[in-house]
Amino acid sequence: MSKTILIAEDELLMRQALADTLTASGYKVVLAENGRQALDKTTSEKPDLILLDVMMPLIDGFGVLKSLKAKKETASIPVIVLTNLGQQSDVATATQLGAVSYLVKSETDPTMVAKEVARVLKSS
Amino acid sequence: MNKRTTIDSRILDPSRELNVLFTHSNDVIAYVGLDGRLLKVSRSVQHVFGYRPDEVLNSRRLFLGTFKTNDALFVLRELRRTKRHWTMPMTRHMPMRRKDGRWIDVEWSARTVRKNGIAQYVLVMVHDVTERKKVLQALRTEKERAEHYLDIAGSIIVALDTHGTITLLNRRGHEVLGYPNGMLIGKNWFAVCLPREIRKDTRTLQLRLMRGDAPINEMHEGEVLSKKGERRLIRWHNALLRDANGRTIGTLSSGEDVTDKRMQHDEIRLHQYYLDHATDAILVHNMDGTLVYANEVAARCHGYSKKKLLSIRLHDLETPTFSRQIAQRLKDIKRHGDLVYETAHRHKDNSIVPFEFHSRLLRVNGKNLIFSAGRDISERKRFEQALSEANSKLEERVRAQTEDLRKFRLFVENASDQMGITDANGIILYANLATISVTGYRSDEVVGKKAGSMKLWGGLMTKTFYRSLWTHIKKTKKPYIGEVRNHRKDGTQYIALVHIYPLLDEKGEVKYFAQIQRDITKQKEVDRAKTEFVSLASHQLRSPLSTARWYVSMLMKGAAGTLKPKQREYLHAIATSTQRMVDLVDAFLNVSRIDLGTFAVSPESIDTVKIAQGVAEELQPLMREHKTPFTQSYSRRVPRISADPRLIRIIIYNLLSNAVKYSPPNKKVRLSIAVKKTKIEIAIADNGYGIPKEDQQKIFTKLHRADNIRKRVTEGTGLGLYIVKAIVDASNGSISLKSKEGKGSTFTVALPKRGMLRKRGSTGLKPG
Repeated sequence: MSKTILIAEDELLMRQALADTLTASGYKVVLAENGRQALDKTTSEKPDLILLDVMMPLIDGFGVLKSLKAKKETASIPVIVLTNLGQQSDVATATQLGAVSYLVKSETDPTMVAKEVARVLKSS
Repeated sequence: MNKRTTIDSRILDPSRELNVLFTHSNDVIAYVGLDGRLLKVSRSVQHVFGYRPDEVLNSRRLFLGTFKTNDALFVLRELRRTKRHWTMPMTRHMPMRRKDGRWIDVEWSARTVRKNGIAQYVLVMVHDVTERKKVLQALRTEKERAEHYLDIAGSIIVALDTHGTITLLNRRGHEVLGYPNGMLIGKNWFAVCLPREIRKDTRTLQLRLMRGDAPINEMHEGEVLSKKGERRLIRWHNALLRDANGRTIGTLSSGEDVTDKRMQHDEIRLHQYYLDHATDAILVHNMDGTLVYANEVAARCHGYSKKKLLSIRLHDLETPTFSRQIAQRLKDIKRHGDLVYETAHRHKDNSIVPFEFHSRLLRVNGKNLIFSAGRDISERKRFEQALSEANSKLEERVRAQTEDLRKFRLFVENASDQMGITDANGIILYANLATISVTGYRSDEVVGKKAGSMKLWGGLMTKTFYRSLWTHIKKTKKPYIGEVRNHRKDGTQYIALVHIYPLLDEKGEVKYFAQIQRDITKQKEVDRAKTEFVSLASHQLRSPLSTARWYVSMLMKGAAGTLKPKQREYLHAIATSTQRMVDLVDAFLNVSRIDLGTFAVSPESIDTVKIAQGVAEELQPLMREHKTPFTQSYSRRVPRISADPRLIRIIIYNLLSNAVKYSPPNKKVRLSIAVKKTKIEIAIADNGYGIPKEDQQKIFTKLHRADNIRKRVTEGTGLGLYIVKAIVDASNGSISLKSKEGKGSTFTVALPKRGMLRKRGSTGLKPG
């Protein structure tokens, strides 16, 4: 049974690139364009891993992360945070809020993201 | 005078001759008995004593009655003695009284006549010597008077006999020769009174005078020798002494002691010599201007001989301008006794000679004379002229400079930047007009206060900042340029670009500080806005850039199918370009963070060697691409330092990638870390294109790329070194460059062992 990855990313093209790559790697992909959708789809789809962009409209990545960890059902889902910037504060916040990993978009590419997803799923 | 006869015993047998004598003798001849009675008397008794013979015969009256008592007693006693032995004739002078009571002086001569040894009577002769006495007295008086005259004479009077014996020497003569009055009479003149060496010649002269071989009335000078051995010079006039027969019996000389006069004369001559050779010109003139004396110098100054000069009147000697002041001048001299003044005289050659005289009023022999000593002040006048010219030139220059100064003053006063001058302790001495617009304080409000103090516009920076600023300008005496946050009088804050320059005196000590403040708040806001824009834009760019890279990467990895070589090649081109864009955007973001001061420094204990090695590995592909041989060398004992590893990484990355990029192929690049006393030094050395000297200062600025590089290497953001410098500064480190165009460059970054200060910021710097 293939794992489900929830991709929460507001940029269409990036969302598409991630979706294509993960699908090609054999995962089932669920998409969300904003924080609200991310939470709703988590409840409805129950993914195995969430790829969470920080910069999102409505509720940003950290807000989503907080909510996820607050609910018993969603707290155990591993979250990989994606961000455009490399601020120390973001990393710290992400880790503090319970993210299991952290990737900087400009320093990575979809292939590396897929690798990380695999690693996290394996270890959880 | 009278014939004197002695009568012997033939008296009692008078001869005619004897009778004649007895009758006609002028003297009184008397036979006096031993009892004093007159036995016989000559007729002359009548005219001598006034008695008739019969009146006095047989009485004692004539003799005893006519004597003074003492004389009478004496005669009686003598008569008594006659009885016994008296054999000597007696001669006496005595006063006797005539019948008419008049006293006469007589010469009484008596002789005892004896017969057979027994005294019989006394024969007396009385000679009236009254006249003679009178004459003698007169003569004596005359003599005394003559002697007195001789004595009081100022001259020496000396009479010598033919042998040279002094027969007469007056008081003055004795005085000059130093002997008691009268002592030299009878001494030999030549032997006693003359110096040895002239004795012979003087004696010869006397002999010649007496012989008539030498002229009498010639005056001659000769020395005499005093008792003490002192020589006096005497001026002599000689005359001959003759007796009644006209025979020369000696010489009579009158002499004047001219020793002092000669000395005075010599002294006068000496004084005249002094005056003549004095350095000053000396003129003596009457109140009417006629000159009575001029010395040698005066004559020379005027170009005349002394004699000629004396013939010129002062009023004609002085130029008209000054000669009309003479009257007033004389009045002033009379009033004050002396006067110093300037004048001008006409030289013989008609040129004008300026003089300065000191004139004094002298009273000599009842006359008023003006004694003037002065000097030719032509030289001095020339100097005065030159000085006055120099002075006016100076005044002119001062005027010009003052004008110049005014310009500068106006400039400073009205400049738009706030400018001030403080003393060496920072107390404001002057502040220009712009002070109020920049700081809100009027110029007069700030003068006397300490510049940059809390009471004025300071106090918003840290204490350390102010302390190190003061040290910088005061102790190391270096200028300070920097941005400082200040506040205005009303409390509003502003950013000032502050320049402070110490102004040193000749000793190199701080005399003043010049201070300029420019309100750059607006500028800074503009800068900030610009930077924020850059930051914002960069952020916005990141997303599309990442997206592009992702798709290129997916394509390259075959996610859309196998690529043909050409497709791969083209994709590679896109990948390179997008990577470049990413680098640029990262660099812009770093720079804007640096500019905004928002980047954080988070020091940790780091191993710089490890970081260096990491960077070297990361740049392996780049080195391969550029065919750059690379070596790294690390000192054995590089200590861990406290620094932000991310920032250190950026430094090494930027410098090393530069070294590789700016070297032609096969040129070695070397990375090394060395340990110094208080720092560690990271050095990146290349053998590449090098940096021209003109550019070496500017390479750490934004977007600067040296001309020599721009032509060869098109990549490169121009920001790498700016970022490196910013990080080095923030780390309390330093960076130095050694480079020669065409040879290569070595960048050395020194980091303190004590490490970086933590700096709060909102973001870190993007690596790479």
